[in-house]
Amino acid sequence: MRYYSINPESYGQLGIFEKQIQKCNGNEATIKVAFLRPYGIAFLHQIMMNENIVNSNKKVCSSYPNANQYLKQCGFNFLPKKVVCGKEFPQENIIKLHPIKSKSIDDDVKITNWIEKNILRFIPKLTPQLETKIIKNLWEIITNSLIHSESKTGMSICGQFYPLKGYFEVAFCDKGLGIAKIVKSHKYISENDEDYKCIEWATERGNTTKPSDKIGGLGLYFLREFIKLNKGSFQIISGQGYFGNSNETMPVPKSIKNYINGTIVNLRIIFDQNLYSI
Amino acid sequence: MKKITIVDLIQSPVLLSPEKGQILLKELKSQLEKSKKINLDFSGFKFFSSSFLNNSFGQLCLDLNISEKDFFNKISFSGLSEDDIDEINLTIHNAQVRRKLKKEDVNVDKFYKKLIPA
Repeated sequence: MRYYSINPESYGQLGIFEKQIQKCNGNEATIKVAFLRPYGIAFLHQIMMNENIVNSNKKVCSSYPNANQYLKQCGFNFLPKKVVCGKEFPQENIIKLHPIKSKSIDDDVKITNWIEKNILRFIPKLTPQLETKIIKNLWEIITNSLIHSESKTGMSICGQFYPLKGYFEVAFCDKGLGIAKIVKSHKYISENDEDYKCIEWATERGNTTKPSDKIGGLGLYFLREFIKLNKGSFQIISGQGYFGNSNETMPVPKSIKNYINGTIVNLRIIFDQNLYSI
Repeated sequence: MKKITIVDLIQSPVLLSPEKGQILLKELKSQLEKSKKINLDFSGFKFFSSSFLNNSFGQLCLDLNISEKDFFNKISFSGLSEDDIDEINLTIHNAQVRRKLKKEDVNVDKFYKKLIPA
């Protein structure tokens, strides 16, 4: 499998990945993937964090040395000991895998500190007001996942700055219930409707599945507005639903072929010299 | 007037988690028994979230059945920007809608579900 671009099909392939790793009888699964983006790493990490896989001591690697090298530098700790790796990548452009599991009262401090230290350096200049809103939105993506998804493996975050292409990508992935199931379980969207409608609903400003908290949703409102100005892109994938934009277009909802357990939120931000304000 | 310095009370400039909102709610309820007016000083804070605001100010309006006018008569704010005040206004407004529905014995959760077409 080769994942060179970001499109519904490449996300859908991750579902196949998961099935193959789970079905693999031996202790070592080899995936044929030459190039991995942060969303692939975060997703793979979440698969491997599953209790059954951890207990079976299963390892996974790629048949391509460069992909193994990248996994290693991202802090992916499920590689076999004797894995063949390629040439080193510049470490300063990588946001290493960051697993978040607990939900304690002071998590907001830890999470916002982590965002400020790791993510802000790859985002163009923002007014202080917008910077605050972006940090809050990123915190909401993480905390909403921890609250709603009931993910036993928490959430994995991974990011990469691509200096030659001039953009930065960061992915948030959990293997919990997934937005589609959560929204349908609250009956905001009918059980028979497509999963992408649930994602669309969850990204609207003011929608939430929290019973006593009317303002909420996915926490993407200002991020989406900023990404629109920045001409970057975002994708949210859950169940068989894909909701995202690319190349300055309006969000495109779509169904994907393979089922994705949990939720993936992927952001691409163009690193330019502009000062952004909303 | 009783002054509460939020950063000292919560012991953090980051006011995002709902649990921190509940700490403030408890303090507000206790102080309102002793003082008619309270000033909340937000100096030094970094962020607050809608969850924090809903769990403190929104819940206070619901629990003590306080109208919007009464809320701002009893509680004043310092150390906040116009944007921050707007967010507090929105929280109080939302709480008033819920308060009104509660008063009319409407099941709030069912009401919102009906409003949003499936």
